[in-house]
Amino acid sequence: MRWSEIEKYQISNQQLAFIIIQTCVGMGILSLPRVMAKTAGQDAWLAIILGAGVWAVSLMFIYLLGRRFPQDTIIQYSDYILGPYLGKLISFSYILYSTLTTAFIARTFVTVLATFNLPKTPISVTLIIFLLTSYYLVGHGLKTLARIYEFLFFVLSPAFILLLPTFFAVNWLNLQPVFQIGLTELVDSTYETMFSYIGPEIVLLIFPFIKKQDKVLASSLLGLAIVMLTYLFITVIGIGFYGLLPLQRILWPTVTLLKAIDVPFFGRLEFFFIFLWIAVAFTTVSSYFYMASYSLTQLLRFEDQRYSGLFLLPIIFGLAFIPENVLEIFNYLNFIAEFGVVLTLLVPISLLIIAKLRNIKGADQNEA
Amino acid sequence: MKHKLLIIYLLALLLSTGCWDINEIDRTKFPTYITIDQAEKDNFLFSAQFPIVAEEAPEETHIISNIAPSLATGFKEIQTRTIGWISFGMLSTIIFSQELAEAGLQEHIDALWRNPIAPGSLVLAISSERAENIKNIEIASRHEIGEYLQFLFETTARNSLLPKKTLNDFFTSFYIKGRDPHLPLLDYGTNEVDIIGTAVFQRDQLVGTLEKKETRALMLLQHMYSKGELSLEVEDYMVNYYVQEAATKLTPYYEDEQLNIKVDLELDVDLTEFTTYERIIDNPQLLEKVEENLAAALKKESHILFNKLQDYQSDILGIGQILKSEHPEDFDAATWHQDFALASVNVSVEVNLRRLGISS
Amino acid sequence: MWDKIKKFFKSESKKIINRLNLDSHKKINENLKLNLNYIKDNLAASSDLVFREFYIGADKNLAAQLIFFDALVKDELLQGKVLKPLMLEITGNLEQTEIKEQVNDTLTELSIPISGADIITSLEQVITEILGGKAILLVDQVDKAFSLDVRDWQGREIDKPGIEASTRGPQEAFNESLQTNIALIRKRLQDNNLMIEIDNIGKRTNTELAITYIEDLAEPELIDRIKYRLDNIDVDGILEIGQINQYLSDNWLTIFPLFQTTERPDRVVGNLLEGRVVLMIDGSPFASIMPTTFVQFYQSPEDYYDQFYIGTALRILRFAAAFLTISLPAIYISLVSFRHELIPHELAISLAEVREGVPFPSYLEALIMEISLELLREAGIRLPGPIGETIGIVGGLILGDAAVAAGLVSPPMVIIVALTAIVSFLIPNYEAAVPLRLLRFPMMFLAASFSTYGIMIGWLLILIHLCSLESFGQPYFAPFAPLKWSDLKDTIIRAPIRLLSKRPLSVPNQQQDRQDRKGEDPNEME
Repeated sequence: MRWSEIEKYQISNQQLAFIIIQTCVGMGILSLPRVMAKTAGQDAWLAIILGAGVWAVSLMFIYLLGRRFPQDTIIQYSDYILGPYLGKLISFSYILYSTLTTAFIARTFVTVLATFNLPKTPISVTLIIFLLTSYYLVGHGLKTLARIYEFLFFVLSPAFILLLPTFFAVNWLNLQPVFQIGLTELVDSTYETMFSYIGPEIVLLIFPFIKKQDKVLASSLLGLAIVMLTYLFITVIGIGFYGLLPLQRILWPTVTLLKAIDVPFFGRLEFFFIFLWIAVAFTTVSSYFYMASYSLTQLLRFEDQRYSGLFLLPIIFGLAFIPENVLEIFNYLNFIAEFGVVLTLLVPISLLIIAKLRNIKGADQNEA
Repeated sequence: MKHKLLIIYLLALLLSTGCWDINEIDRTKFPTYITIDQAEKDNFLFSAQFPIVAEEAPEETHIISNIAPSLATGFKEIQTRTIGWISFGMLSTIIFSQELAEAGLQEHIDALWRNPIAPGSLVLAISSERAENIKNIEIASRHEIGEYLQFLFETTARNSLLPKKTLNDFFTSFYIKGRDPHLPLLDYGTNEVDIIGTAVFQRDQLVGTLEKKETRALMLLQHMYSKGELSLEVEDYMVNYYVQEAATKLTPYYEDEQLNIKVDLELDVDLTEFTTYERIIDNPQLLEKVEENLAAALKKESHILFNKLQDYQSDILGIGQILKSEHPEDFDAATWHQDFALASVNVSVEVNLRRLGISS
Repeated sequence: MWDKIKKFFKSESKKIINRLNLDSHKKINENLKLNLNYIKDNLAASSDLVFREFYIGADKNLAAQLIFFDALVKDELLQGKVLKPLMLEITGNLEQTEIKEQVNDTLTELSIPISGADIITSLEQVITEILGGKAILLVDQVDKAFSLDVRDWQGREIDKPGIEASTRGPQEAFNESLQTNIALIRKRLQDNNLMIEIDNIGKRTNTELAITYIEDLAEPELIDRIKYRLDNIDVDGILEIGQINQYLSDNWLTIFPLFQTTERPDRVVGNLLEGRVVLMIDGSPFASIMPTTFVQFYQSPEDYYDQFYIGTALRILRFAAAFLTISLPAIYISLVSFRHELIPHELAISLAEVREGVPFPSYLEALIMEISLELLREAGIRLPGPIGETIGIVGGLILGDAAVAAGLVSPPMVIIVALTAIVSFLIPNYEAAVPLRLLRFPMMFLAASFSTYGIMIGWLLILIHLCSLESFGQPYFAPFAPLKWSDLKDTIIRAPIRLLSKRPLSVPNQQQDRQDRKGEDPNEME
């Protein structure tokens, strides 16, 4: 990649951590406690920590791959490593994956919004407003994306402070006894948590733009750790407050949790939470939208991701209407999550091995 | 030209967005309470009170009733008879009649639990007579019964040993294993509503009631932070205690195939009334006696409470949940209600008198 | 795409033909007649242009011409300090060669006791100098001209700050004279590194422009960039510094001011000390500070003069005011028309009671009221002094009261509108407050369509825009995004003055430290 382009979009390592946080934390926080209660029971926290561990390993491979090609994105070096045809296939599957993710997450978003906020507004209208806002952000490029994520992190943290009163109402009996989970269940539920962690694959695409590349692993692990803590927090209070069986009967437990708190005057915290969560979901969707449009830009060698974004916009809009109900949305989300796990875990590892075997290296950043 | 079209398109899109969800506040009806009674043939009588906002209206409130097979259906029909969209957003109380509760509540709360606008802090209560009769009560202090009920539960739960249970509490203890729900029991007077005790449920069906004395034992065993007044008649005088803090430890355990429940209750109390001429300040024996009187009374009340609960086979204290978390191998959800009924209960109460007020 | 949109809006720029399209290399001739003809040809024959013909020396043997604009020069100076010495005090027969030598030597020997005097050689310069208000002395047989600074431009006295009033701190403001303004800065900043570069801008107005910075603080690259962009301004006239701001702006479609203009010399000096560059032009009582960050508009000089508790409290108030200015009517709409559950029950009932009978939906009601508020405010500015103040009260009280009485609007709406009006005045900078006032209209629109979702989308759009903005390559929304931890202590909060020992990182500068932490302990003595 040209140095001028790298310089134009350069981000700091601190911003990388925020990008990872904002990409991962999104749709998952509303339904994770329910999913975890179902698969892992009261030992959900264990599965969440293990899931983060698996992702940390994956991030390490992504980092090693990135260090090998400090100036290139996955779209470019998959070509070098696997040759133009197989490489294009990899690039194409990344674009497909991020486009599908954008569409389905956006769809989940409008579904939740329609449930809690705007029951009579057609979802196509809320969706298009949402996607256009996201497009406005994506059009500004990585630098603005990183900046707004950084800022929003501090603006959105109150969403979790809202949940603190429930933390004191947690019935710790619901989380006992510990270590009751069987090994197969643990593996299953760890696999399940990994879906909530998808998002670090963005590092594959933005690696060349990070200022201090030797510290990428540290900052991305920091981001991952904060994501893990967030998930632990909501899962522990979700299970602790409701217990396993009631929790499975609540579609969006994190929101419903807030219904239970009785705060004088500001009685309805769940609406404040939904209000702030709009931005949380927005950052996730924008990340995937950015990934889709920027990979497409690189694949087709556009000069700017604005064009590819404009091209993808109607496609995402159309794809979002494929699922017919909440159940199907969850099925589709699981499907793309599995796709994502393959692309983030298996593909970087195999690419790294092949690159090592074939001894292919990218140009050094300092030489540029 | 392309860009011009795009901008025009975006502007048109913005302008074409109608206001689908607009409900002006003066075009919205907020029921403040709902009463549900059994009616003929699987139908129920739903009755709700709406405040009237127009200044020139002859009445301050408006009570609408309807007979329908379910709550949502009932309100759909009420909607056609009232001006303004019915929003459950400010609903504060739902009262079920005892008769109805005996048949099960689950079907009635579903519509409210599913509704995102209905508050989770919605208070549920059981009335000993037909719930709709509440409209006959002429409350002296308020025009609106709904508002009166809201304040009643809010202040009574804070200042006395009586329960306040929300939709959320009911839902949780209904679905969780090893715990049963309970709700406050109401009695209608001519000018006021009285909380007379507790309605005990097994799953969602009412199986019995507790009186005030058992209710206060229940509150002390349940909540660490319950505060309120306890009165006790000793010989020929009255003693009143104010409970500052109650620390309870419930320990279920199996010994020789027999379920035992060990209850340790420790109370910190203040003395608020003591109608004899004796002085406590330089009489340690009397102080001890005052403490022991309460301990003995509470022990007795707790035993009565447990007897009743075992009779009803209802574990509203969540002992099963404790057993499940501490000895998961001993807990069997299917037979828990029978196991609980056969348990032997051992209560020990310790009372610490902290303050005497300003009289010695 | 935005580039394309910009291009779409941008008209084909035509090179402005300079009226002074003269041969810039044409030298002054030794022949006075030729020179005069040239000047007369190129300077429109205005009646206020004076050609004073006279002879140097009492013996009247050397012809000379004094050319100036009547209105721009001080007559006493010309008479007493130029004409008198030249005409009367020089005696004897002046040989041509002697004169030349004298001229070539020094001006003092020409006996003109005027401090601002220059020798110029090109005829083009002669014309610009005349236009600039100087008097030109042309002497026969001499191929040089003397430009004499006898300007006498009328201007205001130094006044109190008009729109940036403060309770604490100096009560001096810039006025329209660049010289005065420079004096106000120099008086406060007696630093040998203070650089003031004066340039001219505007093909026809030929406005004097001063680039001010502290040489060892300001980043040279920044100064180069500013000069580069200034050079590229090709316009016939600049009347106010705001026009220059628009030309220099990184993003000229933005609603937010990318440079801060101020009329307070203390603010200018404070910003110079942080490594910023200040532009001033003659004829404008405002100086423009660049690069600027968003938070600067919410800081007032007195924040630094008072104890930090006061400064911090005031800043929190201002940020809250900025938030409310944009979103208060929108929040009201979304509460009253959508999310009634968020209003406490008793309040909801009384709101419904007062809204009963109002014919408009709440968003229309809000729109009508907010537009009338803006009308009143604009009218208040245009009307002469005391009436302007009255119209606010009359409009606010009487109109609002009458509207409520007529049942057109509900009383809570009047409260909301009055509050928005008041909070928008909390923002210490006028040009920062106006965009916020405007933004509340789209916000109300979004809230009316999508309630809280609309408000969030609106805020996201504003924030994305703020994050994308740059002021001379420096992130505009710093230190919030990109986050600069050490700068945060002088943003929403104002840390104790001893902790502000570093210059802000959001402005490039050459020296980080600005104070020595020595002496923190008042009892400490060496």
